[in-house]
Amino acid sequence: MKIKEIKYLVPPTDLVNDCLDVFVILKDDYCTDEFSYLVEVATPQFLSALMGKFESDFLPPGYPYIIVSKLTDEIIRAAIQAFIDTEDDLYWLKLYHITPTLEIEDINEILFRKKQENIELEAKIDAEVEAESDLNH
Amino acid sequence: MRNSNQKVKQEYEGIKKRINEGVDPIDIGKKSTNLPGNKVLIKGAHGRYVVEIFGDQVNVLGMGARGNNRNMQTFQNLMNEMYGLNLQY
Repeated sequence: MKIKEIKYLVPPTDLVNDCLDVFVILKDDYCTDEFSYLVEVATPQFLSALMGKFESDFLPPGYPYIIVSKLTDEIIRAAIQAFIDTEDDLYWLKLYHITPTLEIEDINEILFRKKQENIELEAKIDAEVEAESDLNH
Repeated sequence: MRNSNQKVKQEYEGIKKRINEGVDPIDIGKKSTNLPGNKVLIKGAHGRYVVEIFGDQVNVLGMGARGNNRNMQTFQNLMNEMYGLNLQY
């Protein structure tokens, strides 16, 4: 799927040391006049400066950034297009977009659902292996 | 239980407190940006805040919650329409 339009909350003040909020508009079922995908794009120098600002050896916890070498339209578009194309159904774009919207209740619900799915899958595999083993004896 | 609105509210209160303490808005948040007309966009962890500076006085003109996509879209449109910040590219 190709990007229909990208918009910035504000344009970059420094092409190699800044972060931007980028609205990504696609021709899909999600995007409307009021809804678009929203991702944050930053440069390595910005992340380094951020550690300096907080006088820390690591980045403070925060939502994920798409990292680009320089904040030009061309590079930002190419990066976002890769986030659209690399997996089916816009997986990476949706993942980066949805993360800031998740409440801890949402995260816990997913965590325990996945735990249950893993338990059920393991039990199913064990049962299949056991059934196969019975057939061979 | 903290939801995204509460996180933004807490962050907003913290920003107002720092402004009242005399901290330059450009030094607040992970990266703040000067905008035309003595305005500053403060980028917090959970929200985006546009403030206007009149001498010693700082007014918060608007805010957007990073976790609320509709709200962020509205924030962008409002800032563009009401304050002529030309935020759309």
